[in-house]
Amino acid sequence: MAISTTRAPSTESKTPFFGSKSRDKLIAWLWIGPAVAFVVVFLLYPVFDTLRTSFLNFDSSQFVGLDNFRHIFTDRSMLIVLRNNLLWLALGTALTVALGLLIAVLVDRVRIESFAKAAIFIPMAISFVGAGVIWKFVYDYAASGQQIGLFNAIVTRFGFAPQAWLVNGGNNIALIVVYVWMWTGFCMVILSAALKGVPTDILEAARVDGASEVAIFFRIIVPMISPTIAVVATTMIINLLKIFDVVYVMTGGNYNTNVIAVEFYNQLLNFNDNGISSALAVVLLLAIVPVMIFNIRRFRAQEATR
Amino acid sequence: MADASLAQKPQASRHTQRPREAIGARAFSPRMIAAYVFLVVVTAYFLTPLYWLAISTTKDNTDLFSSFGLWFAHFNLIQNLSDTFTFENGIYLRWILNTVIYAVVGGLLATVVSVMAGYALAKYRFPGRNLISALVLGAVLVPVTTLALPTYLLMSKVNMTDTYWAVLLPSMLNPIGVFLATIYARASVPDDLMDAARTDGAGELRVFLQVAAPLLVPGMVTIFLFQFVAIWNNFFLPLVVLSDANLYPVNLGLATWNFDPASHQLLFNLIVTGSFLAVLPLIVMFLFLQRYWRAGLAFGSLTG
Repeated sequence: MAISTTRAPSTESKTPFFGSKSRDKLIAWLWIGPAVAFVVVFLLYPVFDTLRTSFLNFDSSQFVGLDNFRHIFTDRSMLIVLRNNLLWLALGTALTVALGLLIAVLVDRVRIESFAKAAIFIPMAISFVGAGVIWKFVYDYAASGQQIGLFNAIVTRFGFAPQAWLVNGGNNIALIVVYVWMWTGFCMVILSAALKGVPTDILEAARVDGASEVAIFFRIIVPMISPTIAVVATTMIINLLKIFDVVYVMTGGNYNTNVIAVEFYNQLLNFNDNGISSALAVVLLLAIVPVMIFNIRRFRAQEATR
Repeated sequence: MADASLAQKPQASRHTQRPREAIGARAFSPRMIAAYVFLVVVTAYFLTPLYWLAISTTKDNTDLFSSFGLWFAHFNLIQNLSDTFTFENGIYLRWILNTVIYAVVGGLLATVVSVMAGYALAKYRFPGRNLISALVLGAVLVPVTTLALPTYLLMSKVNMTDTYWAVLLPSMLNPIGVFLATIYARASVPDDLMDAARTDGAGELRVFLQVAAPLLVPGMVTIFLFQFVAIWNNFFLPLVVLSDANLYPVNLGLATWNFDPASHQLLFNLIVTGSFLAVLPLIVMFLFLQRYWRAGLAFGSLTG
């Protein structure tokens, strides 16, 4: 909403001849100055500096053109990193949004609504490190003896062999499950708020006409709250593009679970390669640009209808 | 039983109650039972790990690695607490205090900065306003973690790495806060009220402090809460700009215990207890201030 040109505030329209305009401008900049300063120093400058460094070699002493990017898109281990990020993006977004929506729809109709909502929302309060500690134990694997990991305790009880969940194939999905645990609550709360805004008359009319609940869900509810679904999905996409903590804490990017942000960290602090790490950051930033444009467009469209 | 109680609920209280009654009338249908089963399973998925954490804080290291995870063994909570707070001369307490300083000071300052900016964007017209609005909207999405290198270099240039400022200053960048404040200010501060104050001779500062600020308090609470949690849970920034363990926030400290392969097994009761204690204040805040979270989330997403 801040983007559009709304009606002139009354300060201007009511007192246009008191010379207050220039004073207003000055005061507005006083209010806004600190925020702008932080954006420039801790956001704009770092973005441009990262862009510059991405074309330089490991200690920024030499211009290497696109070499860093070529490495990222051809090196075998880097390609695994990119593949994992895509997997995170697709599965993470789909699972959090779908599960969040399903829970929001169902929870709206049961007596335990506020309890279930609070329970599902709580993991959001937990840091990734806390979640990492918890889930490491959930996935814990003992080569022999008693299985203390929650999953393996269940699996062995049903007579199956215990699994090293974080090492074996499918370990990326095991990590995504942790993310879903943390973020479904966020999706659910927002989607639930949107659901409350769907007019009941329409739903009742559809029921009277004999529409099934499934048809009502897909033909009425989903289209009506699709703007909110878009918001939630873009938030998840941004989150997942830069996913770091879960992977860093639980596997450190080992066993083929590496993602861009963890590799960025490794290149930066373990291999001291500023060029590659900056190039990775630029790849992330570029991936976010379409989402950003989409968001600003949607926002402007919303403003226009206001 | 579900349909009876649903039918008894006052129907007029909320518009959306009516279709529930329609569903409630079929409460024992297989579909409804399936819905309950699904929700119970999902709730278990979300709560079991936390339950495990709470139970585990009462176990010593032997029991942690040998007893059934979801039930008590020997009750060792008191010992765990005292171990956690006394290990390495009580560094855990220091980490907690650091985290509180980062989250409270950073959260408050970020809120002030955001509310000032949001108020100006909503209530003044000035050249560059559209540009700044676009900047804020774009900045919301930029993953600040990937900007760690220049931020780190900047900090070391002014000799601020390994100081509280290294964490506090970048924490004041809060585009979402500015964005929310703009929406709140536009919705809750009437222009007429500001004009009336101006007519009475109030300067712009007084208009802000005495007219606008009181109306913006609920918005400020929401912005503060979000930034507080963001700083409390921030991991990447302190990881990059701090190397002195005495300045670590609790997250980073716990992670160093967790990653040390030599101590990992020996310290596990401390890691578990420490994690639980660090999570506790946030859970309490979440449960008691749910109203503000929901308001912020819904406001931010439905209007933006």
